[in-house]
Amino acid sequence: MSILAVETTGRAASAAFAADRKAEIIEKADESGGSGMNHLQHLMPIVSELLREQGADRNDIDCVAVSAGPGSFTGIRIGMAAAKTLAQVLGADIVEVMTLESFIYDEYGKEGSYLLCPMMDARRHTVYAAAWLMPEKKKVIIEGDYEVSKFAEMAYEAGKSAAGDGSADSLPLVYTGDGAEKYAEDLSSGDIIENTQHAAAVLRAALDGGRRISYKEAEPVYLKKAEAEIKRKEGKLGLRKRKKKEEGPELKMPPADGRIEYRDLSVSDTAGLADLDRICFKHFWSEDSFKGDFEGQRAAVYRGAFNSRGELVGFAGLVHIAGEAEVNRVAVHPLYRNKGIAGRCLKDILDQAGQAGVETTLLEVREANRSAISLYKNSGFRVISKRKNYYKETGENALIMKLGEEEKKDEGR
Amino acid sequence: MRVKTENEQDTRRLGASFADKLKPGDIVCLLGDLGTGKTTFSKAVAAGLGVKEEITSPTFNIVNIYKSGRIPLYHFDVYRLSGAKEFLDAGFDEYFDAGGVCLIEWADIIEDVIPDGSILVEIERGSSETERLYDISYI
Repeated sequence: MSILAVETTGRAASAAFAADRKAEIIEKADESGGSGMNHLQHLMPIVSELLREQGADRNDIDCVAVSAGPGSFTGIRIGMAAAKTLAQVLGADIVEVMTLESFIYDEYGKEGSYLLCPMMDARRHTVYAAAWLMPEKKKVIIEGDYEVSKFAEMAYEAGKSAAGDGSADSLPLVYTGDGAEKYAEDLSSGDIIENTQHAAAVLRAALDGGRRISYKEAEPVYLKKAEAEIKRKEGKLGLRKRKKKEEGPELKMPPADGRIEYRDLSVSDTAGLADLDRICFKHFWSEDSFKGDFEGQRAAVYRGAFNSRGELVGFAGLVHIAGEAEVNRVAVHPLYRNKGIAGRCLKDILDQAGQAGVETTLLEVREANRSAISLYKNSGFRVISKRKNYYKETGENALIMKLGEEEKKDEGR
Repeated sequence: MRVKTENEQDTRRLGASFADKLKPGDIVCLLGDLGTGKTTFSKAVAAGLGVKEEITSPTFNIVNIYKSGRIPLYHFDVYRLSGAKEFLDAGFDEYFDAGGVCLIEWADIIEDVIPDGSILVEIERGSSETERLYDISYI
């Protein structure tokens, strides 16, 4: 005579009970407010408490209604398992309620005609959804797996045609279900009304001509991704059949002690500089380029950081003449980043340059190189101009940055 | 990026610094032959995330869940699955969106469902018994 409903496909587990077909429906939901799937743990305690509070005689329950999906895989399976077990133990029938359809038995406080669009999150910007013209309960978009914006478009079009000939606008749209709030951004043209507890609607749906079946026949409903949608990704992970990977340099793990020592660099360090540059950059400097700095007309100031194995793991270098300097290179080994090495080396060469009478320092940096730009800004550099398409190989822009007396004065403040 | 580790201690440090960069929603595919150290690396990553429980191999459970770290860790071993379809049928893809990091050993078995943007870590043996070569890239 009495009927119990369980609902686990959305964001909060709930249960509902009615002493008989005409009786008031009492609903109880998970109140823990937790996110994720934790609410499902509370389903059985909720059912138990609900029955106790209603003074329900378990032997009177002859029907268990369950929200069968689509919706969260885990949610559906837990609901199904609970419902089937309850039905078996109580000797009751099951009524499977299609989750999307159950939403037409909820209250939305809407007068007049509107389009109800329940949406269950199917992740990656898709939803299991359908649409009904209300209050007639006439289905106008069939249940399916839809990309969110596409569904919103379809709903709007359905709403327009339901509004009748000559209507410029769609009927009011009501979006509901856990997918509605999640993808709210894409649903600009309607109201989002979420009833997180939902078991009462499931119970009403079951009473409205729901087919009673044995617990043995009850099966969850997944709108499974079509086989064709599982795209072949040959060569992506590639596995054992993998083509030869890009051979990059092998990086050695830093020594466990983590110690770094700093010293000035000279022309005898150019081999180490070139090796490190090759590890750090796609367009690396050759040993000759570094030699050029040390043997050229302008004075070179280079500071390097070494690990306890004596390997160069970071450096900053500039050249200067007649009071003007240019920072040529700052580099840190990928496994030694975020330790302040670049900042220390840079500060050191700027100090040395200052002591040698340098008043203006310039550098150029790739516009997209945000970490370098941030490093330079923190050292007092300011952007003074932009050169478009400066880096020929990639067409990237360069920013020209300057550290001079005005900037130094600003830093002082 | 290719990194050479000399011993297990190196592996642990690599795992820890790798873990520092992980954020919710990241999916890490761990490939490598038997014995190359996928589970060792996984333990190091878990430690790096601050997971307090002992990490055990998920070979039989398919997935172990750890919530005591900085972000949830979903540690998979899909060696026993027949392929992507079995993974999807079990609803495991729900973990990709569950606000944590998925670390998947033998991910090549389910490569069809691995999303773009996932991180690929391939481990090979090096020239000595304890030496390993890590190839870390994006898919």
